[in-house]
This record gives sequence, structure tokens and C-alpha cells, in this order.
Amino acid sequence: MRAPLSWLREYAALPEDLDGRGLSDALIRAGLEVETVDQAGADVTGPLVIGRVLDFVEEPQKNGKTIRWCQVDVGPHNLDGARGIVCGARNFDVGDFVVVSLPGAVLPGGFAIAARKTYGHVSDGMICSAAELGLGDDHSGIMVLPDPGLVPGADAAPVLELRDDVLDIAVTPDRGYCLSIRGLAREAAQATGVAFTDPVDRAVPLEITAGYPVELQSSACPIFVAITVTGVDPTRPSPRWLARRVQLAGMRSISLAVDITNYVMLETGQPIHAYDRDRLDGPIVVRQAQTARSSPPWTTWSGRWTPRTADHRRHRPDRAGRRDGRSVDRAVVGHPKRGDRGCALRRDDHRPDLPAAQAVVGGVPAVRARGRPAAGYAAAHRVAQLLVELAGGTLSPDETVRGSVLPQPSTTDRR
Amino acid sequence: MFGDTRTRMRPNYFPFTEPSAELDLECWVCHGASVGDPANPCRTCKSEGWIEWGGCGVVNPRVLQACGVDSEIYTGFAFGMGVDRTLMSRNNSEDMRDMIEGDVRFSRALVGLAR
Repeated sequence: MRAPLSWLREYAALPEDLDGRGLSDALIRAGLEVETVDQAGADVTGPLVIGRVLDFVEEPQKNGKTIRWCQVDVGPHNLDGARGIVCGARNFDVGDFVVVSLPGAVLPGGFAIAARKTYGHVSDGMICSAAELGLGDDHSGIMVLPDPGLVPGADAAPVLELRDDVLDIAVTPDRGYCLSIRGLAREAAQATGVAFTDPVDRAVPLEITAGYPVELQSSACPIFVAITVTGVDPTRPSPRWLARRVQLAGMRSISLAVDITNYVMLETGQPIHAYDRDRLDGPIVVRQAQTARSSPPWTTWSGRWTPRTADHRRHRPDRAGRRDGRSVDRAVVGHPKRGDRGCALRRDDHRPDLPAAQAVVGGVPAVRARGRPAAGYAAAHRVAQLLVELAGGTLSPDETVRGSVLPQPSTTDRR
Repeated sequence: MFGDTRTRMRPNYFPFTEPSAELDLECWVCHGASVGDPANPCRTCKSEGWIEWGGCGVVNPRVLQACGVDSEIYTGFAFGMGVDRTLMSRNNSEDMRDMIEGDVRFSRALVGLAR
């Protein structure tokens, strides 16, 4: 489990001066195997600042490329009112805020920036892509920052959420709850004697069937929650903090809705999906996965997967399927079969004549390894809350809670 | 037992013992200096500063029962340590593969040139 320190701080009131290494020592004393503390962003040094593109000229080159000779405002770092920078990307306009590494900066991989002559100009720095800064694999163009209140010349690291300590913890099997930020934050609070705020902030109500219809057909799944959010804007990008935290925790940032579900999954330990309401027909059916003979292979995000043995079936009891036995995978937001990997909801939603897209949130509680079914309801609401805040959605008051998490009686021999 | 080498005992989990602990030795190559210093990584301890030497714990009564031992009468203490890591620590060896590759020059150095 990779846990960014800033994320743990949201739920554990850790002292300001406690760094990743200090927390690591405390967690090791508590029996958690902290393997490393990565200092994310530490491989970027020197001046990395916010720039504002003042002007550029496109210049076709003999090698077939077209470069842009840009004048970039970098505030106090300007020479004669701006800096001249050669840029090979074309995904920006005059007035855009970009990230500029100035001479003296070193980017990941030991890439030192210096003023050098290229394509007939002295390029006095570099306008950076996300990949060049170690912020993901997007090298299709440079980073254009959407934030309106940026100041040219300001340090770009805080804006990019570049630096963070990330604790890499080998969680032992007796501590499944530590496969979540919630569990680790609680351990961190306990180990350092500070207050813990539980992100799972609400109890599961009794059964409600007012929302999207759900059929529970497997006892291995004690509860399934479906909450509907309407009017989600599929074109909105993930805010930087969200994309960065998901990335620091070891996942890729895909799109806003997918990032939100992954974020809440990492935070609460609850697997969770967002479904495209327009692509669901009939109720969501929760049943045991079937073997290849009776069921076609699933297409998962990483490829095809066929449940082959009873053991597999035990491990995947929380699959949702349609009543006719076909999977609802194509309705899961971000699924490759939808052909819209980079986009939260389906393409048709961009057509102006269609009503705004809807998303159904299904909270699928884990059964054993991370088994805290009672957290599923709060997790689903957390996803809904983020879809409202970040994607412009509206929470529907009608929700569905199938099953229950009443505690099972257990017996213990006392000696 | 380990001379000047610093040791660290920390709680851990094994399915067959409860409670359980592991014993770490401070890295005999970098002595912890590589921790948080990406410019000077330590290949022996992966820049963690500590090397796990052994694990131990009180045997889970069910394990004893499965072995036909009356867990109401007997308790057990289980432990195991890495032979190769012990040798590495004793001789400040950097690479465990040297132990098993069979290079006679390595073995000779250990036994003081005895034939």
C-alpha cells in the first residue's frame, strides 16, 4: 500500500514537523512493515516556475517539424520583460499558464536545463509536459494549467502538488484494514497519539429501494449501495490534487469519474464503480461469477479474464451482472470496451441536444480481505459528494441499499 | 552476539505464531547512510537501512493441535534465521549470490586459506 503523507494528514492530525521518515519509524514500532519512504518530486530541483505565454511565432523547420518560438512571462525571472523559449508542442494558446523549468533546473532522469541554441534561437528554459516532470505518462503536449489565479514566476511545485512523502507499506495479512488510507491514518494517529477523523462518517441505514434497482443474488455480498448523481459534466478534468494523489498511490489518472472512484476506493478500502445510467438496462444484479462454460470471459481494464475455477469464483463474488447473464461492464465508466477511455462518460453525451449525463454510483463492499461492509455506504456517499463538488452533478435523494450489515453473532472459548 | 551491530526487534505477523516478531540487523554495508539519499543507494539493503535477519513467535495452539501436541499442556516458541544473511553480516559481504555461486576464491577467503 502506497500512502502519501498529505493524504494521511487529512484524517490523522499529525504534527506539522513530522515527516515521512518520522512517521515511518512510529509505524514500524506499531508492527507495520514500512519498506521505503519515497520523496516524490525530489528528483526535480532548481527553478521550476509558473509561466504565462505572452506571444508565440510558429516556425516551420527543415526537418518537417513546426516549432513555436514563445515569449513567456515568468515574473521576477524575466529578462527584458519575458523569456524566449522554443517549444515543440502546439496544444496551448496565448494567455495560457504553463510550467517552465529555467536554466539551472534538473528534471527527473538527471535532465539538466540550460539556455541553449536550438532551431535558430536561444531557448532560455523549457515549457514542460507532465511526463517530463514525472507527473504521469502524458507526453502528448505540454501541461496547460487551468487555474485562473496563478502568478507568473511563482514556484510551480505547490501548484502541481509535486512534492510529497509516500510511505510504501507491505501490509501483513492480519491487517487488511491497512490496505486503505483510512486504516493507515488510524494506525498513524494511534502510533503518534493524535486525533483521528474517520472518513466513514455515517452508519448504514436499513434497506431502501427508492433508488436504482439492485438485486442481490449472492450471500457473499452482504450489502450493495446504489446512489444516483445526475447532470455530471464528463468534460471536466480531474483537479490536480486528485490526479496526483491517485498517481502517488500507484494508479493512473484516467478521467474525473474514474479517478474519484479510485480515490475513494484507496481511501476507504471499498471497491467501488461508477456506472453510466444511460447504458444500464434493467437492475444491477450481484451474483457469483460463473465459469467459462456458462459465462463469456470478462473484459477487465487490463485485458480479458475468465473465471476458471470455483476458487476464482470465491475471489470475485462481488461482480455485478445483468439479469440475462451478460455483464454490465460496458456501463462501468472508464471501461475500454466503451471506447472512451480518456473520457468519463460516453461520447454521445457531448452532443448538445442530449440531456446531461447521469451516473449511478454502486458501492460494492469487500467481502473478506478488506471486509468492512459497513464502510460501503459512507464510501458511496463520498463518491457522490465528490461527483457533485468536482463534476457539477446533483445528488438524487432516492437511493438504494440492499442487504444489511447487522453484526453476526460469534462465539469464543474463554479460558 | 552481533558485536557492535545495531539490532531492531519489531512486531510482525505470521499465520502460525501469535504474537510474532522479526529481528533486523543494521545494514553492514551502508550502516543506514543510504536511507533518504537517492544519490548514494545501497544495493544490499535496498536503501532501507535494515536487513531482516530472522522471525520468531509463540506457536499458535492450533498448530500444536494439528501436530498432535496437547496445547493445554505445551506451548511452543518458533524461530528461524537466515544462514546466508548471518554469514553476510559476519563477513560484511555485499551480495548474497556470492554465498551460492561456488567461486572458490570467495570460499577460501572465509576459511582463512585452508585447503
